[in-house]
Amino acid sequence: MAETRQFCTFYLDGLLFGVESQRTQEVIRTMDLTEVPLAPLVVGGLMNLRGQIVAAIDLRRRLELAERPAGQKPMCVVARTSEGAVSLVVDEIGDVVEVEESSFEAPPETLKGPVRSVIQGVHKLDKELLHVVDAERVCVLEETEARAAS
Amino acid sequence: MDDLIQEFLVESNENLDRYDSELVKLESEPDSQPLLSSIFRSIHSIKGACGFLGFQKLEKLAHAGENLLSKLRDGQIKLTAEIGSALLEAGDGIRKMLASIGTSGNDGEEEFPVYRLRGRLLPLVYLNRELKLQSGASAAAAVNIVVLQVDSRQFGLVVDEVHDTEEIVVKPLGKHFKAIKVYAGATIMGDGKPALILDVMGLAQSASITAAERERTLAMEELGTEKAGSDRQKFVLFAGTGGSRMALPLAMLARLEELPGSGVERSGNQWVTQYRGQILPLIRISHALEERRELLQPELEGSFPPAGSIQVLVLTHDGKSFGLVVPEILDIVEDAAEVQSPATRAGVLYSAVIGNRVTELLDVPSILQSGEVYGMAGGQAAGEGQ
Repeated sequence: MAETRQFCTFYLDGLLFGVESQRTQEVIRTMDLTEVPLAPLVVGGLMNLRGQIVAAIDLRRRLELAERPAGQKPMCVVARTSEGAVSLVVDEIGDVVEVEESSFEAPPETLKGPVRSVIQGVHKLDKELLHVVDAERVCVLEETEARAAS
Repeated sequence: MDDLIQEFLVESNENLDRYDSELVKLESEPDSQPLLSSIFRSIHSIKGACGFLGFQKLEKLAHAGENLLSKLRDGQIKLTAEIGSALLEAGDGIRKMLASIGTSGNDGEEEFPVYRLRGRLLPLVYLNRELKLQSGASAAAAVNIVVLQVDSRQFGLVVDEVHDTEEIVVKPLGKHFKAIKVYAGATIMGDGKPALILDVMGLAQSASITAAERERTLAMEELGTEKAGSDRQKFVLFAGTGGSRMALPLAMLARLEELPGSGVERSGNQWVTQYRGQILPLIRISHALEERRELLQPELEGSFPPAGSIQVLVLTHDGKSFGLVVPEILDIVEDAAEVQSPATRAGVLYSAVIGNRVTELLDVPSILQSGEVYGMAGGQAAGEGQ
């Protein structure tokens, strides 16, 4: 039997994305965020996750998608990373899907910019493409990358 | 950009390069007049051009450097390591301002606001500006200032509102925020919302980008006046006994306080009050100065502590704090206190004309010896003994 991977999926601007289920801690409704002045734009703020302070990253901004329409209530996928939990702010939660390793394809060469570092690749599903988000890389923001490079 | 400004920048940078290299040379031959003159000319020509082009802040800094150099040249002050580095820093500051003129056309950020706190200038940092927030109280309204201290430097943080003090556990922020130096971490408040904790050191650093030049200017002005032998000092003036005017150098004071009379307690044979988690012995100026005691005896026996508040100068001597209770704190003035005459009574160092009035300078060690601090009985005994 072919190897499979399980993803927790969600939508952003009509596109299907997924984070590995093992990395997903929980899915919650967005709560009030405490704004962090001076923080990069992708950081939506801080939230109190049962006593733990978790940074919320706006995935739309992180992936350079259009801004979320006003009035749309986002959801949060809390992912476990080496830095602790990180809350990914998404539009809508999808199913947990199991895909075969063989359906995976690396991102095309033409995909550039910050998106490329975050998207590991795509799984070709029957109806649509599942973009695999690297939760670890999501947290590495440009500033830190730039500093590491210099 | 304006050709004139372009030319000014090129020329000033050349001048500055020469200024820097000659300053380094000066360290090995500190008395070289030609070198001093040349350094002076470099900074002088920068200053001259700024005045012409309207770069006031740059002009001010260059002027401060120039003043210092002219005193060096005229032999009024000696080149010490402190002055050397101040001059080098001035060069750096000028270079920064020149760079800022090159990019934005003006010589740095807006004015540096300060607040006069107990006779000292407190640089102000606007939190909303530091955090690049839009909101915030308008400049005209009363502002809330939180006085913060980093190392030996104090500054005032202007905030919209002061809530309360609270004990919290600071949790670190993730690496997304590592680059932002103004936060120490976050905490969860009683309402369940995360709150950001500011890092005072980081805040000072981020704010000093704008404050640095001013501070340099001020520091150099101070350095210049101090070293030039002028002994202008700040004095705190207060009413002594029987309507006389007395003074202490401001540098000797830790604080000026108005404390409630109800907080004055008796410990053994000494008056004390609780002050910042310590027991502060109180010395009444009226009792410490023995000379007119007999004269004023009835007045002195008036009730102490009074029902209202007491004015206290908090002093530290030999590592011990005590409060000097005075009838009234009058003012803080800067004066050279040049005209002097010898003291006419114990507990006084000398009389001087401060702020156009004869003022007695208090002799703190002798007052402490007079014994009020160990109890009034002892004080009286010491007084009679003399």
